[in-house]
Amino acid sequence: MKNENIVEFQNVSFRYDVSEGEEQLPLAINHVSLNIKKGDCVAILGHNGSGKSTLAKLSNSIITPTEGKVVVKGMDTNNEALSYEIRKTVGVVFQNPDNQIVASIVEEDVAFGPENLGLPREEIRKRVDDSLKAVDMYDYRHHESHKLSGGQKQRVAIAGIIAMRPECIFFDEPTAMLDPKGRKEVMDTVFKLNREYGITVVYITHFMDEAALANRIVVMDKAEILLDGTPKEVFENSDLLKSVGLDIPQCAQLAKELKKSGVNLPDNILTREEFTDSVLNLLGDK
Amino acid sequence: MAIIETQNLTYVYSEGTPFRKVAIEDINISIEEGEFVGIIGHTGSGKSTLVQHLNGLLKPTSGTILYDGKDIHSSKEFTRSVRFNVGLCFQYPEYQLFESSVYKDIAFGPQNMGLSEEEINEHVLRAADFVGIKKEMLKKSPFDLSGGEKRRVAIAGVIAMEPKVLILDEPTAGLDPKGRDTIADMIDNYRKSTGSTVIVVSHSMEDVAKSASKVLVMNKGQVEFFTGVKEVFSNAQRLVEIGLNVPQITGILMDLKAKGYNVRTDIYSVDEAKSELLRFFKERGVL
Repeated sequence: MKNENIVEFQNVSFRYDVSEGEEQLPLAINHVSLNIKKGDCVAILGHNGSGKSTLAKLSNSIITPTEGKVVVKGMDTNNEALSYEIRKTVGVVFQNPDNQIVASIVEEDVAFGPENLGLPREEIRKRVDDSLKAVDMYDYRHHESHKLSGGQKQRVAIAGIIAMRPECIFFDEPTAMLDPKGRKEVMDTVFKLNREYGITVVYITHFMDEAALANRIVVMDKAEILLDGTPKEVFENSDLLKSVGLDIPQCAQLAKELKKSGVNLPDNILTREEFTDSVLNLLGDK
Repeated sequence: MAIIETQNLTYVYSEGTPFRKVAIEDINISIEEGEFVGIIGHTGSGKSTLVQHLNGLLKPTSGTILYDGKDIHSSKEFTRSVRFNVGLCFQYPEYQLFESSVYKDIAFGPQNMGLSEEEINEHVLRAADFVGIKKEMLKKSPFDLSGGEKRRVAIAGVIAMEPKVLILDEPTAGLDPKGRDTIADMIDNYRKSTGSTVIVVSHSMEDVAKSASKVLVMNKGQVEFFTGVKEVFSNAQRLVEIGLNVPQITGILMDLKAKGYNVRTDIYSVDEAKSELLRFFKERGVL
């Protein structure tokens, strides 16, 4: 069962509606086929308007395809009767934490989802506590949610999703509004959910250094998939990425430039740690 | 002479209630004409509260803000003129577009300044040009534009008042790398061609290092540093302690320095780092 897909986009197209008499909008997603494997950690890159967020909304039937099928664990999102089960399986976390907090106290906010599932009291209590511990916000359970920092709010929003015990979470630019510390807190949480809790994670980002930490990167451009591979494979295409408004991580850029000038560094350095290690290696300091 | 100066500026939210919170405390800064100041600080450090004082949007709980040497709250007329001379562009400004066409949206500020139709037209066209909005787009509804375009139209709305001081609160948040570069270049271009003072609040250490001449670091409502780019980023450890960081490239060089190697750490761009490391590798005989 190792290669089981949790979400399958089967030849999916999507067009946003316009009001009558207005010109039809172009396809936001154009015949995209993409399988997300259970347990995987996938980053989705693409410039603004490339169709990334539409993918996230399609993943748990917030919207349904104009053409093609989205299948979550065997369930077709076009089947409205299944949307409850589908949303229990795939959760979505959005960009702005302020739009996702519904209750004034942290633990009440996290309890909102499980309460709506009609679970018994003890089960709700356990899920709320477990979820807050998973995002390192347990100590804040009695705090007022609106007084938290951006990174803390975003982690509470994530806890609210985890409390539904989803098998897969889509994150739509979860760090776009955060400061460097908040960004790190949220990304650490995302990776922890994947590694320690086995949750399949798909995150959309504009930060190349965040994408470099995934197992797989899917690059979207003009409603289609442009590149799909490991970070090392994807970031080899620096010219192509630049041509679609993206970039490669600064460390990768520096390593590439140095190699061009004859420095004997290994291929495909992506992170600050890899860079420093390679340089120390080169200097025989290892 | 300083174009903007704050003296013992303090602002308290919800004074007299149990929710009382000191947002900024005893801020004394002085910004020279034509300077490019980057403001960094973790979420809740008081950056946005501070900039909202500089054009009189918030009134200080205590202390004074001077524009061109004069208290901006000295008279109603002066406060009003400061609003036009100090243009403030909020975070996610595209949410504030409201008019039926791009042209009208950009014209809103100049109209309030009481300019003639002709002058308004000139201001709008110049502002649109600065942000790279083409003439044919001016007729469109702002809501039919892409996210990056909307952001530029919103910034044009502030630039159209041709302020002496342009303040932007996280102008590149949520944009892709190309969008970030476009906006950064646009702001730089505005400053160079008009000689205006520019103040940018940012979460991106890379952007600040690239364009600012001075950096103001806020921490818990107070000024942690207000000095040159090099001086600020030489305090890497302190920056990390207060929830910030140094640019990625600078981090690499600091890692090597920490291992005892003699490399410069006052470097913020890939090109500079490349020449420094090539020099270093030659010196070490590995190149």
